[in-house]
Amino acid sequence: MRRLSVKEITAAQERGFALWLKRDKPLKFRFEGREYSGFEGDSLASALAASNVLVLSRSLKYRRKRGILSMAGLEANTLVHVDGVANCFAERIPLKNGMRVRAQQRLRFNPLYFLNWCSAFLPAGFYYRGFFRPRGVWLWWEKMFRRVAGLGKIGGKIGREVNTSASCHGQTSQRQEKYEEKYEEKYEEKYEEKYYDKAYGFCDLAIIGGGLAGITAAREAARLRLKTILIERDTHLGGTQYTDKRAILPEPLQKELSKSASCLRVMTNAQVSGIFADLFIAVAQDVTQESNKENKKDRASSADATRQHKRLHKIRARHCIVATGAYELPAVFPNNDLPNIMLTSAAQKLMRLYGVLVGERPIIFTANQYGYRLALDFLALGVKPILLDARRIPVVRDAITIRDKGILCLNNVRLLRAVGRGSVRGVYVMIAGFERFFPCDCLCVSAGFSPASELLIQGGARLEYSDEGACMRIEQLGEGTSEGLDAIGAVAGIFDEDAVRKDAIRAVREASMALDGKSTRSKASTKVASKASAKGIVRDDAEQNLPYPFYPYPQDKIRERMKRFMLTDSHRAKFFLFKYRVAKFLREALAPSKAFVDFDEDLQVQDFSDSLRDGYQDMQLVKRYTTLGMGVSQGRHSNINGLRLVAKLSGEKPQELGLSTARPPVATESFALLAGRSFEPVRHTPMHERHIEAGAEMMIAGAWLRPAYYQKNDGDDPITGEALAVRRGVGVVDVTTLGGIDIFGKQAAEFVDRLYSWSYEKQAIGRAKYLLMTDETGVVADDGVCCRFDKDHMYLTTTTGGSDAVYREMLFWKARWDMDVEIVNVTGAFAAVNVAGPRSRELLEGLCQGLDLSAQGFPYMGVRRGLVAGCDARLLRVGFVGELGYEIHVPFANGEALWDALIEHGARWNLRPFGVEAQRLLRLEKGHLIIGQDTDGLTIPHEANLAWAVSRKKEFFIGKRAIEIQVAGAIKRQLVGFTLPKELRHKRMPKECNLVIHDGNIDGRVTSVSYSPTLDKIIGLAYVEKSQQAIRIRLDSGKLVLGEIVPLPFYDAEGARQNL
Amino acid sequence: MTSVNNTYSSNKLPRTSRLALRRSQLERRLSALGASFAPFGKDSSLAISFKKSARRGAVRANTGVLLCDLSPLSRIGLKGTAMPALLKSAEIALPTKVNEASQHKDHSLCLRIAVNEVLLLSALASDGETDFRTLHKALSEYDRRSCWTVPYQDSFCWLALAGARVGEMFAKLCAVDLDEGSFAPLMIAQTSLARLGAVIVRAPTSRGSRLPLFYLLCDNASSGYLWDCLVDAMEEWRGAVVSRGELLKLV
Repeated sequence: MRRLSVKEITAAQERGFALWLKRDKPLKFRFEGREYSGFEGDSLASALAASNVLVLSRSLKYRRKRGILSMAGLEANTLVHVDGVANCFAERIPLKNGMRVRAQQRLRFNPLYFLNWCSAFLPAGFYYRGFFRPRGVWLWWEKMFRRVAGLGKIGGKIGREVNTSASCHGQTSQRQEKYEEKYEEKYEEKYEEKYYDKAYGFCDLAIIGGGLAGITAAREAARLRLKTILIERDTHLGGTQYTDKRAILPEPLQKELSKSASCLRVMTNAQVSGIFADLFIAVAQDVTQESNKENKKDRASSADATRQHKRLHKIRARHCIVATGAYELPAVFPNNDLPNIMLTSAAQKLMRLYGVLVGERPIIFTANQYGYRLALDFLALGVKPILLDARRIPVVRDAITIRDKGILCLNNVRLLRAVGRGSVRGVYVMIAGFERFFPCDCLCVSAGFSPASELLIQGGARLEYSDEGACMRIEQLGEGTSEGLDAIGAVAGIFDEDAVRKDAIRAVREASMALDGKSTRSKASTKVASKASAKGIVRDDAEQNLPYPFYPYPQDKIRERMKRFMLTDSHRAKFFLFKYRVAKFLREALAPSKAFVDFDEDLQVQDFSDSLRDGYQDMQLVKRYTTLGMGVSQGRHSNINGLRLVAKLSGEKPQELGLSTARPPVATESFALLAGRSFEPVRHTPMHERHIEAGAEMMIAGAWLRPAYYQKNDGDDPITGEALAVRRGVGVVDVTTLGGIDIFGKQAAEFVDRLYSWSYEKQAIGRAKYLLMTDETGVVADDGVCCRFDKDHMYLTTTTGGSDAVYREMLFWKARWDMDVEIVNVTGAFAAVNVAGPRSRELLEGLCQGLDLSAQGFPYMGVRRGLVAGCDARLLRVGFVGELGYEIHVPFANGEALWDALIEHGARWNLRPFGVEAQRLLRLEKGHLIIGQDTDGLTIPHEANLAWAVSRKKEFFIGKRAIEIQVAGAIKRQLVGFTLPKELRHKRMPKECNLVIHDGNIDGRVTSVSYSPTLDKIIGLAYVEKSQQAIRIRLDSGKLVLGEIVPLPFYDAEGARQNL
Repeated sequence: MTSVNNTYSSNKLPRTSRLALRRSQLERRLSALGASFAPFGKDSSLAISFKKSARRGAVRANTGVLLCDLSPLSRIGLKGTAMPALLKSAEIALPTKVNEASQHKDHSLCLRIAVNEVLLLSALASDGETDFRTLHKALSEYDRRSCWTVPYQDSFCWLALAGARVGEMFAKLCAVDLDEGSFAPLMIAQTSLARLGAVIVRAPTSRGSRLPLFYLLCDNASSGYLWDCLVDAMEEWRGAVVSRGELLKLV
């Protein structure tokens, strides 16, 4: 292979060679450590082909050399390692300057090549059939097979980190790391950071495929002003329309389509991964190039501008037209996998798009017009190919054209085998019963087409094998689950360019009518063929396909010759047989020839015979037994041939064998793309930055970030220090995260009364009251404080994590009870701080205006409105931490100003901010519960010592009946307080959720435990049986510690400190 | 014994007096972009300019996305069965349907976000002091037992997005089609944006301007998170953060 010169292209006097190439922009890259050059517009595969690099990989099982087959990025032949990323299709990677590429297996000398001679011992599925005994040994074999398979390694720094962290064997990971480093050093390979995100898309019409059919449809849709998205897999639009003389070249086409930009969006480099219910289309797009174009003017030099950027589009279309074309099929003959044996479409792509001449002495083996077209392309470039037609009678027009040009064209040809070592060097064929050899440096094969129907199948279309067309055909489309889906062009079996254009226009007009609600679907119209034929468009796929493109050596011919010899001379016959067998043995010994049906999985014809012999005759079973179509290409080149082969071997019709299903994703996708940029909303209080500045360690609390504690450099335990500061002086904690709900209306108090367990209807204005919410089963759901600011205004607080659920519950019950209340979730509208400690009153007196903070003027559980540090505030005198305390709620935007004022003003009283950890310790000393920590999904109020918050007089509240039933029975467990000696603090401190053991049985669990610096002992809460007096807690180590059950609270039982 | 000495002295923190009483959650992010602030309204501050952004903003508007923090501007919510009557008495036109908005003579917007709930946004050119004068007057005179104010001024942050590619940018964050052609001026979408509940309204622009302008209102506590998401999303088109003054010139 070589690059065509400008002179050659000019001499060809035909437009349409090297269409995508920009010769003025040369690029350098490295493959397997060697430097090569290419041009902008090249794909990696084309640049390597132009440099005559024919071998890109080794096969999975036999380690045979493999090169370009389809130039479509479908099969494992061209998988390479690009810039640290494994499993990249070389055809689909646009060439970049400085790109570093390596093969995924050892290319030059592969020691596993000896397996080529051992195929008898390596039948399909040999690994799971032969390596399962003795039990457990498979785990060892599996690792080896995976390592040997050569499916790429996760490269680069990030990949290594993942590998090593996942590994349990330190030594192995170190060894691997060293190996990777060595490899990186050798190939100077660096992992390139990529950016993945997601986007939604919306359109009236999605056209999948930017070939002739797709473009024609897009033009028509633009003319009809339909909001359309045209999705093309390649970097350029055009598909295979470069073979059409009336086709528009990529650049003018792009310009023309961009004129319709208001209603037409063209997405290139975009692979549709799947069509889901209601035409929800997933598209994976490489938007690096688009981003670069956008950014060029601003900062072309910026590193970020060249960062790889991939996007997962989620498109909601009202109608979808699939124009994905068809996959060209290879023929099956011995050595059909030699490098430089490729499909005719691949050869044409290389020449037409990238200006790469695939051979100087090419042979074309074809069964359709596309081989003839390729022959004319070669001729235009001054190369005379040999054309071998598999058909008995070719199309007269094509044959005459070719012969008039002086090209040798032979009909009714059977391929016997290809020969060559590094690449194809010749081909043995049988013509009219005689074996002939043709030397060549390239063999282009076209045995027919198979519709690229995966998306249609996902969309609900029904496919069947057609004997008439010798291929799969869409038989039902556009109804049921596939409503709104249509197919045009080659995927619908229409190959003739004029017919394709007509069909595309037909489909868009029908879509337009359907979108306008004008179409009336008849049963006949659901058949693609019927829809097309109604407009005079006929399927011509039968003209393209060979019904059975398998060419094993014709045994019947040997038998025939044997019979002929036997009639005349039996010795001669025996000698002929001996000669034939020796020749075959020697040939196989020197270079084993294999006829591959599936290139990805190295499946030969023999594997299918084995499958049937072992009793697997159904296509689904054959697929699983042989792994047909389970490789990278997902059977695009092999499924049809596999079906034909199984049908032939089993003597059944292909239609009776069943089909394998095409599931998304259609093409390989990285996990990174699926994960993409994830959104995880986080809520910050207005004082967040102040906490950070003060050295807070933040912790997650629901959607919020809260300070757990504030780091200090004095070496003391910050949590203890903060707790003592509150007990001895004054502390401040950010409680903005608590939920806040305003309830307005005449029935506000009644509404609260029905929702919560205590009684609120008679709650005085200016007073606060504890809130306890239970669900319909009587289980504790949430708690908080209810503040009555007015007759028809209640302000309720909830737990940090419970505000949304409580609000939803309230909306539900409001609607159900049809009450005259308005509920406003003001969680985000207020910032709140709790100023707690014996000096808190003194501190606040300097900051509040017009507020009587005295014990009489503002008693415990009182609520007030007023100005604090110039901010409108709601003040609650509550004592969660068991000290004199004030909860100050101010508008959210005032939060930071209030915090600043408190810190500044509080310096006089040694005010210290405290975090959640200290707050939890302080409330534990006071015996206050945290819902969700000290309760679980089964806790009723009576178990958690909250019976006092359950009104007996009320007729109704949610959960009342359930609580009554449970209380009437025996309550088996009780939340109790326990203490442990302080000596256990460092070594034998229980943890939350440690089990409580009684008589050797599990009896409960610890819910909260901490060392109390105030009481100088370990204190905790646990569920135990009612009758117990002592508590045995099993530590993580299995040891038991004995604790004493004590009455709650641990601290200030009289409540004198909070009532100050 | 653990020391309880206070080390969190005011020296480490900016003095309260230097800053406005009401502070936007985004102030620090704006400051990092070189914003200059000026007092706004009674006790807020508003970013009035950014380093180098004026030139960029004008250029980017036609090719990309502009982002502006309008959180200091006035907004208020009303909820209750008497809300329509109250608006009528305040001479504010109530949109006929939920999820529609109406614009008034002073360019303020009334967003009907539920049958009995509206969100009122002051004009983009608001001075922050004279907004909703008629409404406040009506509120003071009205029997408030069937209509309540909702503190959207604090619970919601208010961002403006303008530019030719806003629709595309929204598509990266939101599952609702907010493309120019599909989402007409004065339409409202109450949806999830980057997994965050948000109210999005397409604001009408001046006759001369062809740029789409969107207002985005979402949870104030998550405004920093959303800001980062938006900045990241508009990076593709080299989006710019602009001040209100710059935005006013463009729309």
